[in-house]
Parts: sequence; structure tokens; C-alpha cells
Amino acid sequence: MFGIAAVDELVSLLRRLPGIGPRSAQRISFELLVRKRELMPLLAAALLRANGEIRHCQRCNNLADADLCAICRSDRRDHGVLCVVESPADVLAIEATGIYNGDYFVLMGHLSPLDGIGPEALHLERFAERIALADLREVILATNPTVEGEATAHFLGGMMRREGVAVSRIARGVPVGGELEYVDRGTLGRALTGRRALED
Amino acid sequence: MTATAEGGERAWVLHRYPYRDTSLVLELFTRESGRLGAVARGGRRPRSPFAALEAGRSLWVRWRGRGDLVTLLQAEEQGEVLDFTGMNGLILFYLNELLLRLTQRGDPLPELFDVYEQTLQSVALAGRQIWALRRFERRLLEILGWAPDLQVCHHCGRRLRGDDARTWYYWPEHGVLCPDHRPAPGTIAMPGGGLTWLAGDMAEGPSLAWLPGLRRCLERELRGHLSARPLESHRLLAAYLAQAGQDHDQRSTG
Repeated sequence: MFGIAAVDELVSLLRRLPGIGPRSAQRISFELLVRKRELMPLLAAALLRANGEIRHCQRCNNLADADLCAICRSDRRDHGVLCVVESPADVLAIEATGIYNGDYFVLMGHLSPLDGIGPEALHLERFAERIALADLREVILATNPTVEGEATAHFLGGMMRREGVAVSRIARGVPVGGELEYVDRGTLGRALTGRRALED
Repeated sequence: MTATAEGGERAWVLHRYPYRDTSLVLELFTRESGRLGAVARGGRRPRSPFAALEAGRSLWVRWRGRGDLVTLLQAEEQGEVLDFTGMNGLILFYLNELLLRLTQRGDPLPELFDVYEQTLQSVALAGRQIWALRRFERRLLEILGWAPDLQVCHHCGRRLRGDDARTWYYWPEHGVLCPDHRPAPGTIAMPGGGLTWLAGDMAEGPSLAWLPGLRRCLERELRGHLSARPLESHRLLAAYLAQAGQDHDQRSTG
């Protein structure tokens, strides 16, 4: 505690952000107050603007500044393919590969019963509406390869059993450029289980 | 609690959650020290040796400390890699939530550790033998004090013959009732053979026809220990099976 209410409140609020512990929160607060004072009104205005303008895309659940996000509005995307991810950061990661041109659905989390996160917390009704739309051909389940991500993919797969669309799961295995000796056993085991025929 | 296990011991990861800026807390189930909360320092950094540790991983661990949270010094994976994708993952959540809700940190339970390990192997390696869950549940209930006489009618003292195919009744908190007695409210119908299996060593799988009664009986007893808060993993499993149009026992193969 610094002893000045305004500083302590700033530190306390920053600490509530992911990845920011007590020392980081204190460091950021002092940096803003001592050296980056000009950033403070800009940050405040940006926070207020984002809070007022950003919502969830009605179609894919990603963050958007309109009812539909840019990807869902685009006529250059293949709306017949849907990639399901856990977070907006996953969308950015897949977009950065440049090899996917379909739509997304962003769950904003994963099923984790031991943390009290069940299907109702993921707003799966919006996902049910999305997969019921006409002309959907394939759904790619790209949740993380963790126990929770796998369980989420399995649950979503169950929801789509009656929809008549092709459902696939992203491949798992050794990283490109990696050496088998240094790959953990779980990853290597899954790489062997999920092996595929050698291509010409 | 033991102050240290620097010599190492076997453990399974039950759950993990973020801790401070870059660390993890791993909820471990160890053979010698029971359940432990272990801080894996830097475990959320991508290159950390602890980064890939998650539920369903079998480890050899060294740790140090006392009190509610110990510090993980070393963790190496050991044994066969078990597949907890798909339905197996939902079952893993169930087993782990039972341990987290019904056992205390620092209470050594080596026999339950062995049954837990056998259960995971039965589920993941041996064609998903769901009956192994019933064996785990019974052992856990025994540790919690469940010890009914399942072989003698509570009313008349008639002894159950092992191969009795007639319907007997499990009467929670009392024991069993033979077919000659009207079932009391809350009794669970079960073929006599199912009760004999439940009272035995459970080394082999039961008849498929006994599974619904066995599940209801053990579920009823577990519910008594879980107070008003149901298991989240059980709700998830029920939601999955409901949307898939199946019930628990259709999944009970083996």
C-alpha cells in the first residue's frame, strides 16, 4: 500500500488483470504517474470508448464494433467452413498463418467443471444457432490440446452429431523444427496416435 | 504433513490453475503424502518443464515445504501415456472432482492411490471399462466410513446367496432388504448378484444388467457426502449424454 487512495486504487485495479501481479501493477502505476503521465487521459478515453463500442459479434461471438464482425461481414470468406476457438487471441494466431479463409466461432473459454465452468457459462446457444445456419459444410474444432480443450471439443462434437456437417479436430504433434528427444511424452504419444500416410 | 519429499514420490495431476504472474498450482494426488497443492514456479512460461503438466499425467515428483502449499522442485512424466481425449476426459474430470471434494490435503491414502491408478488405466487403456468407476467409488466411500452389511437382510436376517438372481433392495443408511420384504421409501432395486459383486473384491467386471442399480446405489451414498453442491463434472457428463441421446449405462461397456 502506497498510502494515497488514488494510487492504491490504480494498483489494485491493475492487479486484477491477467499476468499482472502486485509488483508489476505497482511498476506500471509509477511509470504512468512519473514518466508517462500523457498516456493516462488517452488510456482512460480508450478504455471508455472500447467499453462503449465493443460487443460480441452476433454470429461468431468474437469481439466486434458492430452487430457482425469484419470476418462475418466479409464476402471474401468461405462461410461454409467454421473454425471453433477458445479466445480472440486464437483467431489472430490462425489468421496469421494465412492458410485459413473460413469463419470462426469464439467460445470465450472452455469447459472446466473443476473450475465451475459448464456449458451454460459458454453461451452455447449462440453456437447452436450458428451451426444451424444453412450452407455450413465443415466445422473445425480448434480448442486447445489440453484436457479441458479436448473435453470442450468432444462436447461440441456431440452437439453437431445431428447437424449433418463434417466435423474435424486440429492435428496434434511434434512442433515444426522440433527434435523428438526433447518432445514431452504426451505430445509424442498423440503424434504417433494421429500419424498420417506419407504423401507423394 | 510431511515437510519434504526431496527423494521423490509418484503422483497424478488432478487439476491446475494459475498462480501469481507466471506460476501454476498443481493439485497432486501422491502415493505417500496424499493430496498436495504444489506451486510450480514459472509453470506458465512456455518453456517451463512444468508447462505441459495437466490432469491425467502420471509423474515422479520432488517437492519441499509444509503447510497448505508446497513448492514443486522437479516433475518427470512416467508410465504409459493415457488417452484422456473425448469421453475419457469427462470421466477423468469426474474422478478428479471426487478426490478434490472428498479427500483432505496431506492425508496419505496409498490404497486409494492404487485404485485411482487402476481406474484410469481401465478407462483409458482397457476399452473404457466403466465398471472400474464403481470400484473406485466404493473404495472412496469405504474410506469415508461406508460399511453396510450387503449380504444379510436388514429385516429378517436372511443371508444373500451369491448367485441369487431375484431382486433385492439396497436401503441407504440401513443395508439391504430381501425379496420377501416390501421395499421402504428410497430403496434401490438390484439383483442379488449385483449386491454380492458390490460386497466382493470387484476384480472382474459385473453383469451389464447390474450396472444401473450399482450406479444408483453408489451415487446415492456419494451424494450424502457432497452436501447440497452437486459435482460439476457429473452435470457436464449428464448434459453431454442428454444431447447425445444416451444414458450413463449405455456407456458402460466392458
